[in-house]
Amino acid sequence: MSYIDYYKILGVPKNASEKDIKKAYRKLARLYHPDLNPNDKEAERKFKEVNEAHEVLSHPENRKKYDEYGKDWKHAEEFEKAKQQQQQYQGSRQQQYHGNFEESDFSDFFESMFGGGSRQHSRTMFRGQDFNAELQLDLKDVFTTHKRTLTVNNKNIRITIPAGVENGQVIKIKGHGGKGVNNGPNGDLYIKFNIVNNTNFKRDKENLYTTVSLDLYKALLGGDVMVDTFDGKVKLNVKPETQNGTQVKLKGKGFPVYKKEGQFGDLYITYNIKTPTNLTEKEKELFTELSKLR
Amino acid sequence: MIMDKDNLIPIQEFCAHYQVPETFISSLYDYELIEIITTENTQCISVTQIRNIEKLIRFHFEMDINLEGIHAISNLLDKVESLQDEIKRLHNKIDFYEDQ
Repeated sequence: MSYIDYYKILGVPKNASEKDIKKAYRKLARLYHPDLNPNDKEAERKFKEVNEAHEVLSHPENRKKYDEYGKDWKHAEEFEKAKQQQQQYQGSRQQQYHGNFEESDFSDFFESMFGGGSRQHSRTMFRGQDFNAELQLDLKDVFTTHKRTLTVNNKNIRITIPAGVENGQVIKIKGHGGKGVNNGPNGDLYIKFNIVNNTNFKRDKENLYTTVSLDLYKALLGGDVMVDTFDGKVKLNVKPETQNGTQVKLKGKGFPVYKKEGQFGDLYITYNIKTPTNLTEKEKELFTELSKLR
Repeated sequence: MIMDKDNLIPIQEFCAHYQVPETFISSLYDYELIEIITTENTQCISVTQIRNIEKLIRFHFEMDINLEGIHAISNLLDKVESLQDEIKRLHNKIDFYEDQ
């Protein structure tokens, strides 16, 4: 944890007026505010810094404390205690501030210097900040609708993950974001799904694609083969004289359609015909004979 | 469009709650940034719009952006959102073809 130069963050001199600080904050907020930079983590990080600097420098008491202790901020608490004792002795009272900000939005430096309940906010009630989280799942996990318990900010939340959710898709969990300011409603929690596919199936929305190897004789003469689908094996009839690269569709054997219970996409199977290798003399002879018939 | 009354908030109430002038909401409507629903002679907004209006309030009152700016930003943010969706879709497509 190191000293944070709030003046530098806002790009103002140490003797900047309240008006200058507000102006600098607004200018930077217009650059980095999450409302103006959706899904931009770097902008979010920068905005938190700017917001923190503004929280300190826009409130005279906080600014005074920050200016007074400067780089000796680590000893600020001891100095404060000593000062407080002195003031109590003199019969004076310290002013208390109350705020509803989420602790995680501020740096450790801020917490050390100003603590959790030392902030002041003049705005009216507002929704809490929205939180973003990422959840990694296997493709198999999202084949069926299931419930999962997540820990967000030390709170356990049980959520339903609908079958068919897409890689990169974001779902909103209402009211599980940051606490509202001045009794405003809580923000929402946005969960982004990172879906890892370790299967032999390729997925394009609700359709699945796979390749099945066929031996030459099955391709030429036809017959049954057992093929893997996402939820088990099925017997498939191969037509005689099937060509390499032929694609067949197994209707309803694909992936579940998101939020449409009981509806499934299709499974597309591409045949990859394997020609025999290491032919025996007899086989060579027979193939030669066959070739002469054509 | 049929609106459930429970999902409507009178503008007067909304403005008192958020401490913003009613003229601000009217201006947002004039710029076609929000919808206003009139029911029983009362102008209301739908609860589904609250999130967006809160954002517009922040733009104006916290970031000092005027209404023309908000109008331009809102259009650009819609485009950003649609491009981000497109990128996500294309990423998934690339993943699909990459291993083939």
